[in-house]
Amino acid sequence: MAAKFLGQFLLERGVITAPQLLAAIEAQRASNPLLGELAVARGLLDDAQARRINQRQRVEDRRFGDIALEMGVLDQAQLDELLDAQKAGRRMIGQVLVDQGVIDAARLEQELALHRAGQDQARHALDRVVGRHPLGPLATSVIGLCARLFPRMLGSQCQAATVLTAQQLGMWPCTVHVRVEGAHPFDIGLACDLDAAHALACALLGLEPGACDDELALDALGEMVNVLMGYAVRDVLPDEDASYRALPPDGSVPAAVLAADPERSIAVLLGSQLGDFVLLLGRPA
Amino acid sequence: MTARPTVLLCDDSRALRMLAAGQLEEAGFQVVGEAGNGLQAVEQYRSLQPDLVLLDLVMPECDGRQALSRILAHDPQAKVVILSSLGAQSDIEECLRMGARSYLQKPIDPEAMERVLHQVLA
Repeated sequence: MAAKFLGQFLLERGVITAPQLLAAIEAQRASNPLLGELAVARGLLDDAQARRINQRQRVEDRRFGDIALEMGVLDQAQLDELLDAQKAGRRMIGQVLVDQGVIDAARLEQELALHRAGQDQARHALDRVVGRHPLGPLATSVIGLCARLFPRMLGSQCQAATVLTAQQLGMWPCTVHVRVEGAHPFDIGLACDLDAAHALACALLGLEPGACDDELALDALGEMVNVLMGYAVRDVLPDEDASYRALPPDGSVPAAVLAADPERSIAVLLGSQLGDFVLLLGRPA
Repeated sequence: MTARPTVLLCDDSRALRMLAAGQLEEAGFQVVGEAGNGLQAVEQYRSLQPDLVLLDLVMPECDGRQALSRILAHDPQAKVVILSSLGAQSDIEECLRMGARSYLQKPIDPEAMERVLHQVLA
């Protein structure tokens, strides 16, 4: 079983319907503002300051509050107040579904227990497969990176679900990868369907849904891969070798080709509110 | 009010141009033109005469190196900052020798960009 978000889990089990899930996600999103949104709503930061911190988060793997403190636009007391307010207002998706009368509290408890058990099982299975893969350490680091960067850059959670085989990669028409040359060369890429590519582009570029064409969606996917690559080289690869060189994003190689050799490549399905993505990592032959 | 420095932004990725344009406007620069290839970059430089050019090295039609050469041939005082991918050190050095004023590595760090562009303008 692959790891999945509670909402998806409940949907697949027939406990809730898709419209109920969407309504709950919307309500949950409204109750869980990002720290920057909260700071702007409370008049502690203006829009420009919040945007600037968000921009820095694209290149710095740091929390919003830490950057705001460093920039001197928030003090520790203001940050603590914001974090407390964020925590107090936060509602989990299950609670939203109960509040909306979609399921009752007892059923939610039962489903949560099943979901937790499934999550544990899926996480162990994923850890086992990734852990014994030659690219395991790199994959583990980049999965963690995605889990941190997706919320910051795209406003969406991201969760590694399962490892895919090359045979399972035919259904991802949008694939962009970046090749990094050097002492430890590697390919890093993301694959998804066109809807997810559009959703990612709109989130990354701050566009309204529908305001993005296919070319821009692929461009944005390439920029996202570039950001992941930059972090991976800086934070994961051995730093004694400074001679890494990244080639431009390449959208011409299908995911199934990039992950064709199971010993030299790994494909990890990532679930997110924007859609499913496949993280591709490989060692060029 | 002091006029904002004008910038010509050249990169074949529309997504990168959109991200960078937002960062530039945020930092007080005015993006007066965008180019998706080297030929457009040269043409736009001639017509817009911007204070600064941000120029990607890898672009279709005519790459950043050729565009740099043509821009400098037209205006030896042009202030061109190279946008480079990770590790393109030899390309960067070549461009600096040709007359580029500085360079920035992608993904662009907005603080570094602001710092570098102001240094180049000074």
